[in-house]
Amino acid sequence: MFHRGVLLSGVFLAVLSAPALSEQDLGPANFAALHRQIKPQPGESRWMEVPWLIDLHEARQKAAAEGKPIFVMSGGGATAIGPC
Amino acid sequence: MGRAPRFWTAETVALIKKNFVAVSVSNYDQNRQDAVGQFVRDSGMKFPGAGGSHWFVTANGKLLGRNPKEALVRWKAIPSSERAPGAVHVGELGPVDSKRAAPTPPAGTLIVKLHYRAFMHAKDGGLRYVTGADLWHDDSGKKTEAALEGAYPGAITTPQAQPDHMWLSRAEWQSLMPAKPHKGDKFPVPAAVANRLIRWHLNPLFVYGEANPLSRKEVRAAEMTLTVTAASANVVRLRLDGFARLGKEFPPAVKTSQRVCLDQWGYEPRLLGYLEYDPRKQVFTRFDIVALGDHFGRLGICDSAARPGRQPLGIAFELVTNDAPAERIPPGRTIPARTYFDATK
Repeated sequence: MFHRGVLLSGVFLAVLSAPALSEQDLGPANFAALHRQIKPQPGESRWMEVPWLIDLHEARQKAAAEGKPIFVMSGGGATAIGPC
Repeated sequence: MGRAPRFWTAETVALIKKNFVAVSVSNYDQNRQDAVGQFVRDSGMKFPGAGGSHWFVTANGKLLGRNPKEALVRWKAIPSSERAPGAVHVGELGPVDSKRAAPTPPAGTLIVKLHYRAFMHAKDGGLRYVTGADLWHDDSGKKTEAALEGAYPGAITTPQAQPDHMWLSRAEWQSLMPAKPHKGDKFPVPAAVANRLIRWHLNPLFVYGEANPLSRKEVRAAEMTLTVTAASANVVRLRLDGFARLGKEFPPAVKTSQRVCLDQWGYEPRLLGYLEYDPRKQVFTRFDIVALGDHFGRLGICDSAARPGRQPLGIAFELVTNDAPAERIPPGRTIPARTYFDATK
């Protein structure tokens, strides 16, 4: 997906300042910290906070049962919240 | 649009979570020759191949627009008798267009969540996260993502951590566990699993969007071993060690200068992982791996942004332990995922 990114909001900037480990630090002592550092940080990808369905027909059934409209996010090549 | 932060404000997230059923789809869904494709076409939604799109629609296919607040106003203008729970009948799905629908994990599949992350070497020798100014779209650095921000405000800045999933069939994950494990045992990761992990999941181009699995020629060298670090009736612990040399060797120019490479790439990660297995339940309870190393060249297949010189790129693996639909997204792109378990591909 081309236009994908995060604004450097105040929340995320605070997180950006945290890293201090390097590639050479990949060892038992720093494994957990590096693992966390690679994963999404708080406030970085707010779309991940949504309880997504990945099947449009299932979404229609759920929306009809709950009396709600549907929000559809499309991606190119893969589903929008996947490797897209 | 897609994941652009200008759309995904805290207010919008709350609005969508409260008022809408959210569904993520691929552009292939609009061409499906089944009830899903028919619904998309009948409603008038159009899914572009790149950039993504947002749509608001009722369960019976009435478009409500592309803005959440406006969609909610239009929704509330529909007579309440048509909006009430159960007012709309959605029939059975019927036959599925298996050529275009995303594959689902077979029974017994072990699912591992991945995140790809591009870093920069910080001045203090550590890692720092990428900003828009770090990402060049030409060799001169004049066209950075920060510069493009003026044209697409709130849409182009720092790459977010990119998600993906790794699937291991029952036979594959069972092959990782020795029949009689003893502390100190050391053995290579079985070839089928190593091939999958390296070619599908160490491809750095995934850090910036969808990509394809690496060809065998793009794997210059790779090795992964497992060592039993503890073995009891309750738990078996394994440590994974490895490395890979992928793509092209680092050209001298990118070793020593600020030059970027938009026409080639290389990635040389080391791998360290910790796996835990419950012999009583016969399931893995931990599958944490980190791949981390220098990368040069383009990021992704879409727009070929690159970072100057050699810069770190990390991949984190962890076991999926919930049954959320979002964790059942197939690995990689939707269509190539059909051949995911085919070792000849």
